[in-house]
Amino acid sequence: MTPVSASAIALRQQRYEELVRPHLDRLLGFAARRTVSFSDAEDAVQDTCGRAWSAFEELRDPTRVRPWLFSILRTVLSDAFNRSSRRARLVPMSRLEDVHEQFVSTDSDVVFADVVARLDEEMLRMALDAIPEDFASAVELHDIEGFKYHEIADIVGAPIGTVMSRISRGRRLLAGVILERRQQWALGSVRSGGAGEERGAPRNKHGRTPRTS
Amino acid sequence: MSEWLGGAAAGRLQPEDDATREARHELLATMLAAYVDGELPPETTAQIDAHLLGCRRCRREVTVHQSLVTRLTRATRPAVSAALANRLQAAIAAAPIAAPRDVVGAPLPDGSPTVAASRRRWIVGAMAVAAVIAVTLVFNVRGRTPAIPALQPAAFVVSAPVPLLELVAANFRTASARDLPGRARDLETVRRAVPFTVEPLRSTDLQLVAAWTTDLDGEVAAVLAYKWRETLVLQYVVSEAWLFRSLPMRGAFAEGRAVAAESPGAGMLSWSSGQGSSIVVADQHWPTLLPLHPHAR
Repeated sequence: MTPVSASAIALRQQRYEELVRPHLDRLLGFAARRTVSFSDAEDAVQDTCGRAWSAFEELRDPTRVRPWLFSILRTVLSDAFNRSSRRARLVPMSRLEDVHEQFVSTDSDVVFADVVARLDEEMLRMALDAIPEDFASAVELHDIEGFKYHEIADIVGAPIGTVMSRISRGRRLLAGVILERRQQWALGSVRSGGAGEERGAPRNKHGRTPRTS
Repeated sequence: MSEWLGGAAAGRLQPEDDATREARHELLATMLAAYVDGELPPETTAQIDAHLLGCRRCRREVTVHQSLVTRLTRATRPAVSAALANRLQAAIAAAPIAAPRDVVGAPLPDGSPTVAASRRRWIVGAMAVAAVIAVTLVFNVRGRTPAIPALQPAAFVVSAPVPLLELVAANFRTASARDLPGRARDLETVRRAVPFTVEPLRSTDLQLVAAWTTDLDGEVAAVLAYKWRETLVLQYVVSEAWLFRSLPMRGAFAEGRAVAAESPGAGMLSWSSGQGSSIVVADQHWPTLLPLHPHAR
């Protein structure tokens, strides 16, 4: 180990604080959704910060600090927590995909947007817990943490096509969990008078609104 | 599997055959999430726009994706507490500087260190850094003041604020700015008032002048005041459990080291031994306090 002067440490610490501190809440939120207890999540964030500090020189581009931190956090979590906390709650994927497929393929009266809007935070966490980690983390990194697909590819160390597939399948599985549990969670169903889901026309991020047949 | 109405609904002059349509549908259906997320190139987006015109199933799936995105975007996240922020700061103070390999890499294999184990690893690394800093400081000080002894092992110098030490420093500044609240003969009363051993400092040129108890953020501490080389020195004796709550201090004590720190107007030296846990404070830089350590030579 090379001796480091006190002033160099202070400068490095200041830069570290400026770059890392703004992302701590997000790191804690991501960790809290995949650990058994909140204190485990705090430990994971602490471990992440320690590793980030140790490897701070590896961060060449400060604009990439957030994906870099999440990448470390995922390593920390997979080292310490995932194995014990998640497996027991997984629901068979084929069953969830069947539920989703049945829903989108038939004229169900359930308005999915209304059901999802009634999910509280605990239900959301339980639904995410019920799907495999690879799919849940891809969905969360995009939908909750706001990463782009290429950033997620960097974080999870997978090709962008894999990320695309995981997000797509992850949301389908998530929909399967929610649809399957909507009665148990008293989310109910809303009758919309036939057209169901199509009262609000889909719109993508490009602003296009597909016509309905 | 789905309600594919594309040919008729779109009024194509040469409808695709069923197999081709189904294959195209399967392909585009896998892209609906990326379509909703705006992650597809314009040409592919236009293809899906067209596909959605005639495919009710895919329109419903697009709605599923949109609904989930809308809800997940609103997911709340916990805020980092002040306590955790302090822990993080202390952990950074105790962490090594040199970059180890595989910090960001793929998950370590089974049997790799846990969070607690890696925490111990930083502390050990931090000991090396602290030793370098402490030895440097000690040698610098000794160059000017040969009378100051060195500790073996060297003291661990914390550079980031440690909550307990900050409390002690603040209490010292208050106590030393006015008349001391006790007398030397109160020592036995103080000993009976606290649930831990209170052992005064031993040094021939040290004169006990007062003793009292104080409250530090809800925790009781015994305070012994000494006159030493025309300087007021306060010894804060606290429970070992409290002292060990601080991660960097716990790591240092586990290695048999003292902990040194500076706060505005206060140098501090702390140790934990069979005779109790003490933090010694004076308006001097901490190396000046080294002779008061039980193992000073």
